[in-house]
Amino acid sequence: MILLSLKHIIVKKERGKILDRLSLNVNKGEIHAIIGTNGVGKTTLANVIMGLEKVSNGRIKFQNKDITNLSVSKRAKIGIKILQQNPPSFEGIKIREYLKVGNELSIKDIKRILKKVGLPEEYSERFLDDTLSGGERKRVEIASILTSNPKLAILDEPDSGIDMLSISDLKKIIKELNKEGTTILLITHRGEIAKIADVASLMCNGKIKKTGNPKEISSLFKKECKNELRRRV
Amino acid sequence: MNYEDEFKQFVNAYEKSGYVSNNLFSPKYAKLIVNESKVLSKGEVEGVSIKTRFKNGTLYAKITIKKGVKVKYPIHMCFGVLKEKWNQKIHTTLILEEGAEAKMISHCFFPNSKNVFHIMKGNFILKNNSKLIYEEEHFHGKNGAIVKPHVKIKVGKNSFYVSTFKAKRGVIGKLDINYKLDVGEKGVAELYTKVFGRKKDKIKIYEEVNLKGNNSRGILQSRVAATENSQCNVKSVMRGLGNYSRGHVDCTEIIEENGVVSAIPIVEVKNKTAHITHEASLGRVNKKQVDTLMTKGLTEEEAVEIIIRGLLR
Ligand SMILES: Nc1ncnc2c1ncn2[C@@H]1O[C@H](COP(=O)(O)OP(=O)(O)OP(=O)(O)O)[C@@H](O)[C@H]1O
Ligand SMILES: [Mg+2]
Repeated sequence: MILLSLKHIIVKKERGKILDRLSLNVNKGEIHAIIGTNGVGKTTLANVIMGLEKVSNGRIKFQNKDITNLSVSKRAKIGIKILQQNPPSFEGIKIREYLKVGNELSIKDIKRILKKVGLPEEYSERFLDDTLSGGERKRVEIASILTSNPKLAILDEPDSGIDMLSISDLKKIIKELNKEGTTILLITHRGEIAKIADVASLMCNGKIKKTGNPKEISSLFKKECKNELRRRV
Repeated sequence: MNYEDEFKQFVNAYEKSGYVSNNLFSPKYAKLIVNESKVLSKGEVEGVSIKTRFKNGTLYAKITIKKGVKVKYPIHMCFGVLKEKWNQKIHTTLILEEGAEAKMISHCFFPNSKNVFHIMKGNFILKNNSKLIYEEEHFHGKNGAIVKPHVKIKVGKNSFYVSTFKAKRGVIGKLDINYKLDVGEKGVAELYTKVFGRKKDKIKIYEEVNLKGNNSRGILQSRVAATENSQCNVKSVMRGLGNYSRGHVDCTEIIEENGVVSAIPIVEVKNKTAHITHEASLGRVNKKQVDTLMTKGLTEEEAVEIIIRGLLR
């Protein structure tokens, strides 16, 4: 069953089309990896689904309803959540308060979730300002996703800023979230992470070039990268 | 009205203004409580002397913290005006003798103000090796008041001064802050100012830190929100004069609706080993922050409110 479908999406900026008639279907319950080199439009795609980026053309459907013109907060309310590639810091907002935005959580729940994402529970009282390291900031955002049991979680490079040792924990968290019923769109350029996906799509120049099994798409991606490398050299 | 009734009324208004009154009754806390131009209560503790006198329409208060005394509980100062109109003039001298340490909490509240003036002239002297944490909070009711805290502060050798000024609730009216600090050798001065402008508030903030001593340090941080038709003007001066003095000026001003803000940072370095940095950001709330909170299901208005509240925390 299709949970999310994008059809002929175009996003234009001054310098041209960033997404160029992109179409994509994501089935309910799957982990769907989006793989592509820097600048192909992965983050733009994530933002389009969340409503953070306006489309010049195309339709987005979620649970068979057209959400193309739905606001960001309404999309959040119907169960779409995003982990941004570079989430901003906030002055004067505690992690505990941030995690409670948009939901009711007890301090016990918060501490449990912090532990799960590998942060000490004292961090609930820490401010979400720029004194947090990049990896810690990312972990808070993963925690935020876990608080809300979304129907669809868009994870834009959840592994960036996370150290090698913790990658296996991250994979475990994503798999668990998926088991609990969350469909996952997993944006990455690390084959290692893509391994946990059920399906993968290769993205090139603002388009989905091919969708298939993750192994096949990963090797295709490697070939693409080699070709690209040859072109650059 | 007899004294007791007046005190009761005062405490009542104090609580209605959002403050907790327990400490005003406890003998553990040194305090000075003033309504209009009358001292309602004065409490000294060991090592803290508070002298007051009234002359030519001005209340003079002299607070001394004796040499080496580390005051355990915060000293409370309350300057209130319950009347709609009043001209409150206060002259405060605060002296921390060598090695003294204290925290002071000062509440200025004019909950019924229609035309209250509060003019406060201060002279704070922190002698060598002393430490003062000073917090001042204002509440000017629904209509605002005309308020001028003008304070000169001397931070001695190895001394430490941190102050926070907050006017976040209610309508401010006209606020004219003027703080001038001189910081001695290895001294530290940090000023944090948080102001929320509403209606037709006119806010002027002038803060000057002269890092005179060698290895002195200073921070001037202001966080201002100008909403509705309020105006806010922040001028921050930081001068690096002493050898290896270090200073930082950091100003964030947010506007909503028809608010107007300006920031004039003046950073001067007159010593080649001194180093001063400044950053300023003026304008609407950061879009990426708003977006991020909206992805959690908040509306734009709710997101903006949370961000401003955080900034002014
Ligand atoms: N606001 C913008 N204005 C103009 N160009 C933009 C804007 N945002 C993104 N782009 C451009 O669009 C292209 C796609 O950007 P995007 O961030 O979606 O790429 P990405 O695939 O996520 O890359 P990365 O792997 O580096 O995260 C890039 O060339 C980028 O420079
Ligand atoms: Mg990206």
